[in-house]
Amino acid sequence: MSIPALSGVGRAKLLALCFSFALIGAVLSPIRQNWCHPPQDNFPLSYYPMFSERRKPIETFYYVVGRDGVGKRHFIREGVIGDGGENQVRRQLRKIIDAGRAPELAQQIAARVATMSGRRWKSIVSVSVCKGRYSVDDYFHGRKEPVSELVVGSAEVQRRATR
Amino acid sequence: MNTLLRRLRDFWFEPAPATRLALLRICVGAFILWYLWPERGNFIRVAQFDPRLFAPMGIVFHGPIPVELFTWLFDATLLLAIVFTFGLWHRVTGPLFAGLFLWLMCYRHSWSMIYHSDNMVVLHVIVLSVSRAADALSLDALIRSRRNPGVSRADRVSWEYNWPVKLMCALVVSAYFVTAVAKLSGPMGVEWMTGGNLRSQMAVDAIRKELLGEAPNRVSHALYGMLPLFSVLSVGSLCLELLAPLALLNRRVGWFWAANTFMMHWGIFFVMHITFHYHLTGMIFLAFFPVERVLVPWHRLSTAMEGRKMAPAPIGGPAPQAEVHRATLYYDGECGLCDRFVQFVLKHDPSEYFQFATLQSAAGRELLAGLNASDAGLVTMVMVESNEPYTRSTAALRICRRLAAPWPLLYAFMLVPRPWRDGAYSFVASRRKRWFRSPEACAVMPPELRRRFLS
Repeated sequence: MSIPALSGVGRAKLLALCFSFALIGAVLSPIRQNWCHPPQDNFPLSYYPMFSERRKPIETFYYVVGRDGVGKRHFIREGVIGDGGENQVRRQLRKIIDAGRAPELAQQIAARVATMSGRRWKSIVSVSVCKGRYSVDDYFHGRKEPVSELVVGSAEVQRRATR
Repeated sequence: MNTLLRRLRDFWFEPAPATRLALLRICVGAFILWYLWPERGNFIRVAQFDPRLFAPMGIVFHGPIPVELFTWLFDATLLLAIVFTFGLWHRVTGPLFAGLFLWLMCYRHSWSMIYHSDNMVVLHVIVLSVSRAADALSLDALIRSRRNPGVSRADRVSWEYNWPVKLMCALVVSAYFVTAVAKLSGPMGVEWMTGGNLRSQMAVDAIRKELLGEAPNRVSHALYGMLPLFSVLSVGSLCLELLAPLALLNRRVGWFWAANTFMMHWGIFFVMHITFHYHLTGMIFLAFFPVERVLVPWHRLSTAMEGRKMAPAPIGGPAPQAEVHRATLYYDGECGLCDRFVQFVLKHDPSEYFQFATLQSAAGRELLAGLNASDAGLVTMVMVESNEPYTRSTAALRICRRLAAPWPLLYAFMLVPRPWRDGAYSFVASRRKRWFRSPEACAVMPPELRRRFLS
C-alpha cells in the first residue's frame, strides 16, 4: 500500500532536486563570461562585472554641459538628458555618442532646457554633449577641470520671445 | 557516497512549516508591488525610448513592442503580483506571474542598462511560483478550509516547504560567489584586495554623478584619503562574497552572513548612494531566517482566545480547564526510556503545555512522512511547537524549558554546539532499547491525562 505513495514522494523530491540544481547551475553559469572575449552580461543571469574592472588614473566620462551668457559651465542633470535614472542615462549617453548621434541629442536637450523655468536654467544659452577625460586623484584634491574635453555635439537654446 | 547523498537529501528536504514559505511569498509579493507601482511611469517612459537603444536581454528575443501593449502587460503584471501576494489560485497564477514578471524585467533591462539588483527578486519569484507557497496564509488556504473544515495545510510541517526556502538561499549565495569570481578573475586579480580599486570605483562613481548634475558626495570626498579603510572593506566584502556558500551549511552562520552582507549594502548606500532596493530592505536575506516566528504571538493570542471561548461561564462550580496545549511531543511508543520521559513530562508539566502522540500512531506517521523519515529510521523524539519541529537534543531541551522549576535551567545546554549535544543524544538513543526495557503493560491513565494523548 505504501510503495506507490513513497515512490510519489520520491518522484516529487527528485523533481525538486533537479529543478534546484538547474536553477543554481543557471545562476553560476555566467562565471564562464569572465574568460570570454568580449564578455556578455545578461539579465537575470549575470556575471556581475561591476566593481571588477580596473580603474585608470585618468577616466573618460560622458556628460552634457550648459553655458550661460558669460561662458560659465553648468552640468545638466540626468533627468533633463533622459529618463530611467542616472545609470540608464549614463549608458544611453555613451551609446548615443558612440553612435555619432550627439548633435541630435544636443538639439533635444536644448529644446528641453528652453522650456525649463528657474533662473539657472534661463541663463543657459547653449548646451554641449561632451566626452571628457578627468584625473580621478586630481578631482578629489579639488582640481575639477578635465584633462581634455571633446565636444561631440552642441546646440543653441532657442527660447520663444515672451511679452 | 551514499552517506553524502543521504546528508544532501536530509539537508535539502529538512521539514519546515507551511507558514515559512507562505510568509516569504507575501513579503516578496508585497515588495514587488511596493517597487513596481511607483515605477510605472518610469517603465512606460523607458519603453518609449529610441528603438536603436534596444538590445534584447534574458528571455526577450524580440524588438521593442508598442507602448500601449507594454502598458497593458505592465498592469497585468501588477494585477498578478496582487493575486500572488494574496495566494489565489496559486498553482496557475504563480507561474503565470513569474513568467510575466521575468519578461517585464528582461524587457526593462533591454534598454541599455542592466540593474543587477533586480536579478534576485526575479529568481525568487520563480522559486516561489512553482512551490507550495500558498498552502498557508493565502486565499487558497482559506477557500480550502471552508470547503473541508477538518483538513488544513496551514499547520503542516513538511519537506515540501523547505526546499524552496533553501533554494532561495542557495541562489543568493551563488550570486555573491559569482561576484567574487568576477573580481578575482578580472584584470585586478588578488590585487583587488589592496583597496585601491575599490576606492577608484567609489571615486569614479562620484565624479560621474557630479558630471550628471548631482551635488558632490561629501562622504566619498571625506573617505578618499583613507586608503587603509578601503583595504579592509575590500578584504571584508570579498570574504563575504567568496565564502557566501558557507552560509548554507549552518543556520547561525547563515544569519551572521546575511546580517553582515545586509550591512555591506547599507555601507555602499551611504558612501555611493547606490540603492539596491531588494537588498537594502533585507528582502533578499529573509529566506535565511525562520520568518514564521513573527506569527508566534498571534498564534498564542488566537490559542488563548480559543481557550477562552471553550471555557463556559462558571455556574456554581469551578470551570473545566480549557485544552490549550501548545506543543506536541511525538515519541517512540515501543521504547522504555521514551515512556519514562513522557511520564516525567506529565509529572512536571502543570500548565498542560504538552500533548503526546507515539511515532507509530496515525498522527506520528503523518508527521514522519513530512519529516522525511521513516519510523524505523528515526531515532529521535520530535517536539512540534508553533508549527516548528524540533528533534534530538534540541527537542529535549526545549521540552525542559517548559517544565516546572528547576528543569528549565537545563535549557542552558543549548549553548553547547548542536553537533556535540546531538552526538550525546544519539549515543543514548541508539542504546536505549538495550538499557531500558520497553513497558510490558500500559498503565491505566486517568481521563484528564488520557485526553492529552492523540492516540
